[in-house]
Amino acid sequence: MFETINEPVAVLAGFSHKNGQVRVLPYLLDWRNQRYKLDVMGLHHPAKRGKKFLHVFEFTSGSTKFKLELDTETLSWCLAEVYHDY
Amino acid sequence: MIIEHNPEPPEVMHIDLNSAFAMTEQQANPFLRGRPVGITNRLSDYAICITSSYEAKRQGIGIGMRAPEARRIDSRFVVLESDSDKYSYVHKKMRRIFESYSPIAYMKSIDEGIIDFRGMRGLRCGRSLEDIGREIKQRVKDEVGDYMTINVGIAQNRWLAKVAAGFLKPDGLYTIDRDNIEVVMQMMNLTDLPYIKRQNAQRLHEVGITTAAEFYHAPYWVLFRQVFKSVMGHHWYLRLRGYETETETGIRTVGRSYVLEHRTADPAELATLFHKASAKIARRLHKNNFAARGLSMRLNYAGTGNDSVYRARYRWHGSNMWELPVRRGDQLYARALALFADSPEGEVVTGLYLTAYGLEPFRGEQQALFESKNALRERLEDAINTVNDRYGELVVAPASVVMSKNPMRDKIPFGTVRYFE
Repeated sequence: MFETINEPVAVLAGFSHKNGQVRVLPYLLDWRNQRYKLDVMGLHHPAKRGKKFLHVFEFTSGSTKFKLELDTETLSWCLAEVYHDY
Repeated sequence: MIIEHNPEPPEVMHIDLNSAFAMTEQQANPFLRGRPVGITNRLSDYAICITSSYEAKRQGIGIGMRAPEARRIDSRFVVLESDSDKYSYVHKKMRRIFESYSPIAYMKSIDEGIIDFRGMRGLRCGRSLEDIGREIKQRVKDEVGDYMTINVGIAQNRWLAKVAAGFLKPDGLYTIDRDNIEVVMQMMNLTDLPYIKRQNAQRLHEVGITTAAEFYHAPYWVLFRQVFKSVMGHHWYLRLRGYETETETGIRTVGRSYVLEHRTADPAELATLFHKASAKIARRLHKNNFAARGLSMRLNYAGTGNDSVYRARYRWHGSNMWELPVRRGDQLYARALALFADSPEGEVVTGLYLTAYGLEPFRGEQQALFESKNALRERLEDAINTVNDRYGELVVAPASVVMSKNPMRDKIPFGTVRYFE
């Protein structure tokens, strides 16, 4: 079941450099007093809202899939959507 | 006229993603893998699947089926709204992979591409195309996603390469050449062949051609004089024998299509949608420096009853070619209203399609001694486009569009991807 969230969240992420490119990967997500650890990364893709450039991460933690957006301008994280696998 | 099958080696590669959008969603959400998934352009009871996963297709859930109907077949069926950002990303990744193999590599649509190796044996460093095809399959898994699978077809022309790609679906790799073409044609149905659907199949049936093998063996004069009755017959005869008939044509039309979330017969509400569609088409024209002389409109109406054939036919179409090319939203809108004036009154519209055609390069206004109104409007449109480029589509838009009850979100561009960036 999908649920639209659109809430700012706290994320612990790792940054790495490879071939002149910076890669970012979220590891831990704090949301509604719970901590979620990334299990499987489904897809990481860029998205544009006007000139605003976002990185979208879709990953699972336990039986939940999260869709997380990183705003590259403000470096803030937003939890866009969750999917619960029943 | 009798022409033997093309003796050249097969050097055209056609690649398509298996159930592209559904598979991309399954890549993004591992919980959906192995489950029947359908993609729709917007989540509503009226919306139909525009594509479905292999798990859904195996159960007969395919294009055109509504979600409640699909759930009656399999209660585990999941329907998702299309996500153009995601598909655009996969499209660009695939294009980058293809372009690394040959200078003649391009995407034919959002989920299929061509790599042309003709005349480029040196680039292959002695490798076979099957070997390269297997490498591309692995690269798609490594660089796009581990769940992504593609079909690779290799043949002497683009059409046969597409046939080959569809031959061992899903996750297939197959080569068609002069030695196995007969076997392939014997194993395929006529309507399995690309571009042979209802109307073409009917044409062929009328002269007694009912199988792909019969189509392949049909004499030139039958295809030319009896079936297609045009140069198309000549092209089909050559295409079936491995000769290239497809040519690159560039952008020929720019259009918007839209299924209404709030069905309406209100001319004022419909006018706002035409305005919105015109504004979006104008942006595409502006971006590619085109102006359009022609405009066509199709309206789908809410038919009564459950007969899908009747529903499909219940539509109106109008088009006109004007003398002067235009590219501004307000000009296209005025032309759309002129077309709309000829449509039947009082019908409840469920979908609309607006397409600009007769495109030509925009030459701009001739410099006038005194500034004309048109020149001012051009500058205003340029300024609006600059703002929208920065802050997003339709951030600055005509008031009627902003007030519209029907949102018109960007959806997947099927067909050409030449302006898909």
